[in-house]
Amino acid sequence: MRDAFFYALCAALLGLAGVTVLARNLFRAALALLGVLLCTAVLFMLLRAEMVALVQVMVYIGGIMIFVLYAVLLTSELGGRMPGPSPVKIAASVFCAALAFGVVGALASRAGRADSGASADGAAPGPDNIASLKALGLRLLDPGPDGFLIPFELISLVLLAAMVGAIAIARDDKGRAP
Amino acid sequence: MNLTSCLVLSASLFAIGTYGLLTRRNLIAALMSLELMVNAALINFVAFARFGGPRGALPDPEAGSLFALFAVGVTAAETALALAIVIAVHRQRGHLDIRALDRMHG
Repeated sequence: MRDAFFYALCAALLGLAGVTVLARNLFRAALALLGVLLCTAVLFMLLRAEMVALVQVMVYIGGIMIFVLYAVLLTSELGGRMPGPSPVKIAASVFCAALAFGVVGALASRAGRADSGASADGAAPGPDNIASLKALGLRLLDPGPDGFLIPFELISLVLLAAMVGAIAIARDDKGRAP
Repeated sequence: MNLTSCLVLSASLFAIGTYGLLTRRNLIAALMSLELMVNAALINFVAFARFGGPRGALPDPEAGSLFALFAVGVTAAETALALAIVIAVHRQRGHLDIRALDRMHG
């Protein structure tokens, strides 16, 4: 039952991803990307990463996608159809995509072969295999060798710098905010 | 549902994103393909956190989730900057065609 749900989710994910890269209408592609992100959040729930699923919904769908939709609305005519790529370009891109799939797949098959048998249905699916919110927070602020204190402090600086940079770039020449 | 099926899913998603990044001519559409590729990487992080790595490495759900969270944060910063650039380019040039944006081409 769970496997059937997982494979249905995979099919939906890949189908929506296909619509995202193939749709001629930019707005439709953005909506398909929204569906991809939502399906990924459900997949994270299935993989017992509740916190990542919540952050996916809040940051990606609530933040980034609204941002992308605003950019689409601000910069393009909505009913407009983008010109399609030439056949040569399609062939070259399919080749490159197959190459990317081959490289990633070769690495993945090594990892998958090494784990065969030991974790056919997940390694010890028990209460100790779930990242609880408390454990996550303690790990995040732990200055020890297993902690993530320094990345946690650095990412706040990165986000601040990105925010200031985005305002500085999007500002027009006369110094007015966008 | 095991590690291999998750990895195959993420590799397929990555390949679809690569195709989109190479064929799209609109800057925002290329950015959306990039989001697909980042999403594939996130699926990998979470899958390894759930099932453990190769050679019997034990799963570490907190570290995997935190890696994914940091990746989401970096992606948010990247997208904010990219969309600011998109708006600046659109204001200056009036279009977002990647092939016509060659001012920095030597």
